Amino acid sequence: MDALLLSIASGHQAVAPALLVVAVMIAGGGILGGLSGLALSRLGIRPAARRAGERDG
Amino acid sequence: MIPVHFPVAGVTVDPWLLLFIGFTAGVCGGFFGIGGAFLVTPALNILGFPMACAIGTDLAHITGKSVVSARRHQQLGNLDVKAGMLLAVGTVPGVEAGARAIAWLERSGEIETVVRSTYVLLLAAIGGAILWDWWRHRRRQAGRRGAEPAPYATEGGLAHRVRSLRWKPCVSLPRSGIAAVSVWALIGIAFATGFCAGFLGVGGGFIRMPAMLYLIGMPTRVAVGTDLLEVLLSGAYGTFTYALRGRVDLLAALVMLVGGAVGSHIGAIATDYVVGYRIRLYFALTALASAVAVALKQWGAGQAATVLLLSAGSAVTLAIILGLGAGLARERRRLPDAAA
Repeated sequence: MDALLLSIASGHQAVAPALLVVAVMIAGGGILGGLSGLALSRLGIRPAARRAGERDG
Repeated sequence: MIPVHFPVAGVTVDPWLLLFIGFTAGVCGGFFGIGGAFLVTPALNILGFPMACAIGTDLAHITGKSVVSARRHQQLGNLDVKAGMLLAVGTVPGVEAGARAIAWLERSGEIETVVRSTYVLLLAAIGGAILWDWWRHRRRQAGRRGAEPAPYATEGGLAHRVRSLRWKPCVSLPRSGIAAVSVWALIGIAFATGFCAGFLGVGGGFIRMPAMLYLIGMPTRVAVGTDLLEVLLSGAYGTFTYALRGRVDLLAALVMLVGGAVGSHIGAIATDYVVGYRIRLYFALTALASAVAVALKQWGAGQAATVLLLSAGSAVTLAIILGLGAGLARERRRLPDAAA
């Protein structure tokens, strides 16, 4: 695991490992966001029912 | 829990601490529409991460976290994609111009003092102005108890002047409730806020969100959601540049993202329960605490500055969670069937 992480990080000035890091974080955000959203929704933590004509104050 | 070794940063840290930092930054980020770098970078630095690695790892976790927050705000109807894309056109060259100004200042040797002084002045001005606006709004509301609600600062003043500019082409932003605004005005505001972000070396959410409120006149929740799209774009670009130099600890960023993902949902959902002006009040207090922290750092009290920042971040997170809890309880009383 350490060797893999170091090999990704040590690709100095290499575009592919840098893009891989960005892709992993975006995909990680998508997956973890989906899972945590589902878990919170099960716990009853979900958006409010929409209120008509709601303003900013 | 057993401490874990993070090979790229070269430090051994308890992962629960990283989860907590990610969670706190996630709640604040989802609630205010900011990245939260002001909180995470010093915290990682305290834990032993070298500064460049702390910034790179923070940017990577901000990228992932912004995906969660932006998606959640889109579901809540708070994301104005059209405005976000137009603002990005001005933000990118603005950040680049700010970074070049910094490179020019570096040659004069006064960079640290100039940047920190600008940071303190800007944060204090933003925090003070929003606090003043909140106070005026509160007094107006008290005077009109039982009558029509008081008008909002975003319905007049600077935003009104910006919207009355008719430099063609003009666009409508229905999601933000704006009938027509000049594209050049939007790009100009984005360039100015991007310049400040590049100059100060921050993501810029702290500057962009109030600009969307007071210069463009977006509703608070839409400004929060739309700013997160900008944070996502700038975070991804920043992660890429730091990863090119091998300054991103992917494992640490992913651990923080676990806490950040949960926190982002909580922060974003809380905007649905906490009234817009209360969001502005919390934002103003956080900005003022950050200004004091940076001033303390400038005077050589770095440790006190970090303690103040982390305390302010934790206090605001607790206030947001309590606000969400109270809102959920109200909602269940109002709609008992929906809660069942």
